[in-house]
Amino acid sequence: MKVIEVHNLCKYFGRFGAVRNLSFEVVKGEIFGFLGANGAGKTTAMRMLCGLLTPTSGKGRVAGFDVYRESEKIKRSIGYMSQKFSLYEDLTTAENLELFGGIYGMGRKEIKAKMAGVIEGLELEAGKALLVGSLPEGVKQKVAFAVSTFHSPEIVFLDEPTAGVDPIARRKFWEMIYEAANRGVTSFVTTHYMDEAEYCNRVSILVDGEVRALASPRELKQKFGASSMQEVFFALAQKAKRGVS
Amino acid sequence: MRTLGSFIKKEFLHILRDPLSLLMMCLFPLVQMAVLSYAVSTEIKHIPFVVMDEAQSADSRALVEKLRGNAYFEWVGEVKGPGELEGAFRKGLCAMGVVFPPGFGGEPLRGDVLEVQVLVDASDPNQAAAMANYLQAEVMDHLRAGGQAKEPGSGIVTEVKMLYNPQLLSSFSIVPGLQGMVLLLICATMTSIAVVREKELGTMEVLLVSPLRPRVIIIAKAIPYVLVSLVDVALILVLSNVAIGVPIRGNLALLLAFSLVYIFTSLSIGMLISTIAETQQTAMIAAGVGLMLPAILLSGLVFPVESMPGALRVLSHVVPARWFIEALRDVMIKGLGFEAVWRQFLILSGMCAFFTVVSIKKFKNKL
Amino acid sequence: MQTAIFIQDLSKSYGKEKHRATALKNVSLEIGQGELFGLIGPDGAGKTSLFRILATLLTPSSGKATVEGFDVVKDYREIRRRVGYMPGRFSLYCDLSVEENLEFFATVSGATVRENYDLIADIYRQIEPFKKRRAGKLSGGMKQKLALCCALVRRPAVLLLDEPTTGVDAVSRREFWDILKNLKDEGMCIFVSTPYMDEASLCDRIALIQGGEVLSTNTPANLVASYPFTLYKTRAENNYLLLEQLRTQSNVRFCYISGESLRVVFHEGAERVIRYPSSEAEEVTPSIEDCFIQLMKKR
Repeated sequence: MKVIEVHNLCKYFGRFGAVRNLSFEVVKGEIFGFLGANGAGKTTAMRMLCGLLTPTSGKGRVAGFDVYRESEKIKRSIGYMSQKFSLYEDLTTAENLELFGGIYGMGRKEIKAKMAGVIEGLELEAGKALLVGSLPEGVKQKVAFAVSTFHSPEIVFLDEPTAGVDPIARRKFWEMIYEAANRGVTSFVTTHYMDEAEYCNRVSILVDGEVRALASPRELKQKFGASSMQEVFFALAQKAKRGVS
Repeated sequence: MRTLGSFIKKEFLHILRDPLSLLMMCLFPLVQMAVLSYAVSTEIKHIPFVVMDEAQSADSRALVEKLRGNAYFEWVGEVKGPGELEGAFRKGLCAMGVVFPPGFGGEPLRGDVLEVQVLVDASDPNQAAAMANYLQAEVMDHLRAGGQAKEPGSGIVTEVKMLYNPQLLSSFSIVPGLQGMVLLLICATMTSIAVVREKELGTMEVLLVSPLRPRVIIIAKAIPYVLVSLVDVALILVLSNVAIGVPIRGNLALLLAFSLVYIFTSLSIGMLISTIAETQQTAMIAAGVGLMLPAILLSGLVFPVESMPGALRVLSHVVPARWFIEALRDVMIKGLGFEAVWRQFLILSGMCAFFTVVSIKKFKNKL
Repeated sequence: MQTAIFIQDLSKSYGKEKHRATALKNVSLEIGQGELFGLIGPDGAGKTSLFRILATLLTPSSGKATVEGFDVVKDYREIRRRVGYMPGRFSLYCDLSVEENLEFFATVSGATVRENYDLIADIYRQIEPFKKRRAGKLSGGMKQKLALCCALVRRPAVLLLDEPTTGVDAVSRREFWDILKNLKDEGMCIFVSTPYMDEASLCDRIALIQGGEVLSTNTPANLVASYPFTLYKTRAENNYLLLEQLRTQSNVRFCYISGESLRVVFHEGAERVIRYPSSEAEEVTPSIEDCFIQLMKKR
């Protein structure tokens, strides 16, 4: 089942083509990597998919809803976790969960019922009354993921989710994503860290607003005769006209 | 509705968990009030005074003796001529001067009015008013005892001249001004900072991708501050009434209606600032310089609008605080009704509508 | 090799009693002249605190540190004259142009751009086409090169670079490391921190840091060679299910995800098999990240 379908999607700011002819499909439960250098058009593309920005032309459906006309419905069906983890640090874990549950229209009972399970999954029983600001970085990041998936979205958008965290926390985090994927939650990961890309099922590489490669990391490495995604990216991005100096 | 509820709850938690801003919101009006009540203490003691007696009559001398024996006043001496009188004020020798015109004390003709002139240093307006009132009472008392003020319309009138502060700006009229300032601080400054802080933290991104509508975000952000503002309004009114004795003569409902319109105007301006400012500092400076300064300088709080230079007077028309303070003075101090302030009400409502629409529009554009 | 940076039992903590937070715990390092030394660790490991102490911006709570033989507390003036420091956040004036930034940083350190141009020439040439542009309008990679030029223009003996490649794209990162290699060849001591494990192999020696403690100091090759187990990798169509299966197998000592495959270490003497359809264990050389995980577990 396709949860994201994009066909020839374009976004122009004046005459500047931030994203040009974007076409791809993401299926349910897939971990899809969306890679690109700074300024390659990642953010613009992701904003269109999240319903924050109206495309200039092309077709796009996210969670079955049209990106032009049904952005409100799209927003209800997705979760979003930004690179800054974007939690309220002066609220506790439970309060953060309650807040976002409320924002996404979950009932009081539903929130309560789900909360216990999530807190247990995070191994945070002891720390649920602590302000998020006092938690270690690695834990914050897991809480952020739990918050962004609390309303059971079909797709969760993750922006550089594991930049700068220690290797063990990073692994635990990817395990959470894998586990979610196994339950059918689709992850759309935007990043410019190539080692994050290695964890994705399939990756697309965006250069100058266009997709230049789309395959599994393994296939891409084979195709470019590279030992890491870093090298694949290097081979593609070197020809870029913008975003790279 | 539940969405809004949980959002508002979160805003309250933010306020409660930041003791500093909470303290500021409650303490600001209290401190202002304390300073004010100290500054406007109406008790008078040992007021140095001089006399310029051009009448040299028995009556004038008797009156001077009476004043000299009074603990509230302190006799400095007699002056000859207006020049000396002015000099005494200039040198700070006295705070009050009593002038008996020639002929004072004689039998006044029917329909004639004899004036006692009292000059008061009104750089402290409240004290000046108290002095003048007290002296007036003393003179009248004396005259009554002499049987000279029996007939209304004739006899002696004390003419009081306020030096240095002819408008006689009093604590009474400062209370509405204080309302205007505190509400502006809380509504505009605090809300704009609260929104911009979310931008800085990155949480705004998350709110934007959620199904929340912009107006829900704006309303949820605003409501806690509306409540805090109303608490402050009550606090100021009660305190000014109890501690300083400022009367609340007008209609309380009308007063609250004005406060609400002004609160919403300030809130929407705060929201507008937050859509433009990217950092908390910018928001703070924009609110401070762009709002607080005009509110202090151009609203008639410190300088009367009537005596401003032309350009500034024109500019003062776009300062919401001006209309609010003006109306509040009329309603609260003078006890006037809606028919006296409908113009201010219309102007403020218009500003409120304008800024609300603009800020919602602007906020949407940012999404 | 002469010692350029010497650190002994250095500790740093912030705050008082109840809210005491320890940033560094008994850190000891010795870095030689002409060495490219990497401090590798995640966010919050204490990297920035250490750099600030060496740059004489912070005083240590206890312990000793010298740069070029000068004490970081007593002789801070001497050190400031000899060290080029590039803080984690690009500390450029965004409202000044590229040229103006460079001129300014040269002037404050008593040098001129012309007399030290040979040192920065290779790097500066890459950003010269944009020299009239405001620094705030540069891309991440260009900002980073400009910041490096500003740190270099005083011709320092020791270069301290705190996370210079964070937030910079892969291509610029590679170019940046090439530049560092060239500088090192000219005999400069370069102490650089990074959260990216894959940059470790580009250094002469590295120290792994976590929670304020140095886990290990070694050359990248020796670190990998000292990995105590035989490491295997395996993969399946669904790695999550495979991981769950491996965790139930009694012959598996531990396993974790690593990119698109899993890492597995078997118990000593146990059978090295994976009971999952069409998945096999293949021996693999540990990466720096694998070593880091191992050292973290040991703590």
